[in-house]
Amino acid sequence: MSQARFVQRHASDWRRLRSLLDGKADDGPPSTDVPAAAGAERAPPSQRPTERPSRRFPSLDRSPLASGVSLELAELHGRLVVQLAIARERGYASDLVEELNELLLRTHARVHAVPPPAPRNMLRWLLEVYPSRVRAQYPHLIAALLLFFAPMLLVGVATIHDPELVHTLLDPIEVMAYERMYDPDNTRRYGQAARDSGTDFLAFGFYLRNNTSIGFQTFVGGLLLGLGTVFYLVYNGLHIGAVLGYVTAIGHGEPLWSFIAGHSALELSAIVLSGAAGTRLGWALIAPGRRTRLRALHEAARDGVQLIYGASALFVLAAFVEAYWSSMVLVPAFAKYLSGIGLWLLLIVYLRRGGRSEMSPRPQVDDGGRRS
Amino acid sequence: MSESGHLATAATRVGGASDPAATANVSIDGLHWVETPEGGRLALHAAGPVNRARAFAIDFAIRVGLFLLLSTILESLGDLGFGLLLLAAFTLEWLYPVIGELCMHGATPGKRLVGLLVVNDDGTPVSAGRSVARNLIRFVDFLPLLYAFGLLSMFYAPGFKRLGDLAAGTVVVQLPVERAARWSTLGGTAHSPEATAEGTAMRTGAVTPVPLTREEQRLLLDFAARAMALGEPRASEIAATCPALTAGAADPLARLLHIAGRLEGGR
Repeated sequence: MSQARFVQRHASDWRRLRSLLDGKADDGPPSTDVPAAAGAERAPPSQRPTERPSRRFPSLDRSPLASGVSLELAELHGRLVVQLAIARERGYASDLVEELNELLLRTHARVHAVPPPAPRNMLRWLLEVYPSRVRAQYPHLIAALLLFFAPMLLVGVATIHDPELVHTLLDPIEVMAYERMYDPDNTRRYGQAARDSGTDFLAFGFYLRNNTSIGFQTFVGGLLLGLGTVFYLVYNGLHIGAVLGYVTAIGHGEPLWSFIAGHSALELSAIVLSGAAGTRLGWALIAPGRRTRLRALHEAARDGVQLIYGASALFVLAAFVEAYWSSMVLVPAFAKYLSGIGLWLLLIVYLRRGGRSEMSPRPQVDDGGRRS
Repeated sequence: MSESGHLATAATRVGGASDPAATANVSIDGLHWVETPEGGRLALHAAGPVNRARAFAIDFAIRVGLFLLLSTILESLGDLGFGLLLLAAFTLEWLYPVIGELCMHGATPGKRLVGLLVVNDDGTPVSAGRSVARNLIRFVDFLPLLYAFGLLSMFYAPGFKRLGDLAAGTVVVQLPVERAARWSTLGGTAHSPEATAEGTAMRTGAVTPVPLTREEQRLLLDFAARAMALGEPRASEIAATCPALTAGAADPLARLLHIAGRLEGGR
């Protein structure tokens, strides 16, 4: 069949498909008269008044299939697949093949588009699905916990015994800043060198940006065979341990620990979650099991992003608590300790029991793809 | 295939949407083939580093511009403004591409200006998790300096994927430029009078003097589509390189165009 006959035969299909994709489904019956020139499927711009001016960006909207046109759209889609294959096989002009290819891209996107999750499902996801996702990564959680807390504990204890140790990790200006931050004689706020009223929001913005950036970097550092994640976790552990040990050793313990108590549950767990996501990435590259590294990386990135969603939420909450609650001088330390313990308990219960009913099976840990 | 070889070098755009199995030599186009569940094959033009760099530059300028704009606006709000500015900085650093890809039909404004689009490996619009993954991993792509890792990955991985694309399973696609409708304008070529004469001479013969493979037929059709854009001197020059097809013709270009027209079959 010649190209002209091919175009003549199928042009009405293509026009109908375009009008469906452009959302003008009520065009009425497609016209069957075709201009004599070959390639009539492509009329010059002056003869296409109803089409949008720029057709470079197809309408790749992600809404569900509109009811009523789905069957017709699917049928036209199936026919287009065959028509494109025929056009390629018969060596028709590249322009025509290119046009059909682009049309297929648009149709394919519309037919296979996944609608975004409904908001009510997100809450359910957060409460029920997320904890089980976290539990599924428990080897990496343990690794991240060790990498983060072990250096922290070691350096913290060492620094309490020998406060001068802090100078191997921090420069003197930082040390002085930390001394000032947790000075019991602070009038208004702990945790910031010079703060006055009205800067809680500023602190919130600062903490959120600082900590979430670190969390993200901890996660994606795992791509460097896990080394980035290890570096971030260990370095932050050492740093925090040194500060904790030093400030406690010089006697500013109570402001410091009451400051930390409030948001520690949120922030430390967010860091550990980010670290677990990072080690998951790194491990996929080091030991992909029975999958190719690329495939293992895909799955690890997918799992890691799931963890990061929760970590991000925790970072935001932690910044909020840190800015508005933890730093308040006027709140007695006892209240802060209580709230801190409360948050820890809440978090542990959420992660251990969330989404787990008596009947649900144990979540499958990633085992290198040995099971299906 | 020497005649069509000449034709190929002169007239064929590199990267035609042809079946790669048919070309014996290495394909130097950046086509990313997708096999759809219906059994169809979709050719996506993967965008190369240069275009992606241009899009990034535009996006970077937009981000810097937004930040400067916000900083001047929020300056007057004191610490509240500074806090908002920090939040805005965080959003612009990490979330700007995600917002662009998910809320603006798969392309940030910079990509849109260059005509790029982010899609999943299977041709569907980029999904949320993949967009987050590829844009967070942007941090690693940027190491050690100015996207060096990302560029290396683009050169080595098929489909010009940087590390974020590899991990997330996405590909950045170049949408074809809006082409002028060449078919209907070529319906009456400048060579029509001679073409008619040629037609009389060839009416009783086969469509082409020598059998052509379908690849060669496609090249001929492409040449006919581009003949006007090439300009008549150049098109005639190219036509003169095909003695097998234009043997004995007074005007080789007209003969070739006529053969192409016969191949198309609409005349």
